[in-house]
Amino acid sequence: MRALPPVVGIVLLLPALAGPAGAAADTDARVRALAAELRCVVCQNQSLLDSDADLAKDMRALIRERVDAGEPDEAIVAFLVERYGDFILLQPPFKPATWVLWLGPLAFLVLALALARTRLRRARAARGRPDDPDAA
Amino acid sequence: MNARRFLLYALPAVAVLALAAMFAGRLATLDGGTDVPPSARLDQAMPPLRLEALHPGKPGLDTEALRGAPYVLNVWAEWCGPCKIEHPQLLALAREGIAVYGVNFKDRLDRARAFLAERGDPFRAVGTDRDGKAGIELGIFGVPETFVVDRDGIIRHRHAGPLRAEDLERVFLPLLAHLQDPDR
Repeated sequence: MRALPPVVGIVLLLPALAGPAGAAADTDARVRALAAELRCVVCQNQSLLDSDADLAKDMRALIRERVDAGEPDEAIVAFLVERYGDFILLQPPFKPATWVLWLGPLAFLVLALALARTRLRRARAARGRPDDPDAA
Repeated sequence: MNARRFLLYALPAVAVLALAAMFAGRLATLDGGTDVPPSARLDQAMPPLRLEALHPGKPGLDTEALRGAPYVLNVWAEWCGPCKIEHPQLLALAREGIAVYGVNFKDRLDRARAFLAERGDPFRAVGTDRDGKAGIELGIFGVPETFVVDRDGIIRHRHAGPLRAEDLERVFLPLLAHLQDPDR
């Protein structure tokens, strides 16, 4: 077995060396991930992560506080939904009020396929069923 | 066959019209002609807020202590232009004998005090929200926002954006009269 180049060993050791800095990076990543899926209510087509609005900054600070306090992601999202409604979620939840939204495109696709099928069949029938071995 | 063809063309048209009607309906629910959707806090309990007083020596804001009678809660700031526009309406509400309370949102306190000294102070008490946490508790989208709270501490109405005289006449005064005396 070939010995690993020393640089690989150093890279493998890095997370352990990072220690507290690694934890801070973890927090950063969680705050960023949460902020990316939440809407900035001031500039409504931006996420909290992308927005420079004051309210978005305050909300990011609030998310960071709660992440630091050890709250799970779901609790933090639920906290904001309680105050701002589903509107704050960039991805609408799947529930009766949004069934049309989520299932509508699928329903249209099924409808279109069914329509295409009957049309193709009819066209084939009109051409004298060339693909039907019995017809020849 | 003809009926089928008609259906083929009519169905998409009907679908588009239905969608347009749905969008129009949702647009109509936006608050006060702004792009703010209905408050998630509507028909929920006023969150317990305990804020320090804007005026030294005067009481701050404690929403739990306000239970028992309906009131209006206005979130404002000196740096907010629309707040200046709506200020006469708050003074008018106070003149009608309505209990109006204020949350001063992320402001410089000396400027906020000067604002009220200059334009009149409609508030029975003003609490200061220095870091904007109370604003998030209330689910505000910006300032000004105004809430009507009933005697049980339930938020019955939220107005986003500056109050106009017609908002008072059409919504605030009738609603508050009803909340003062539900049997009337």
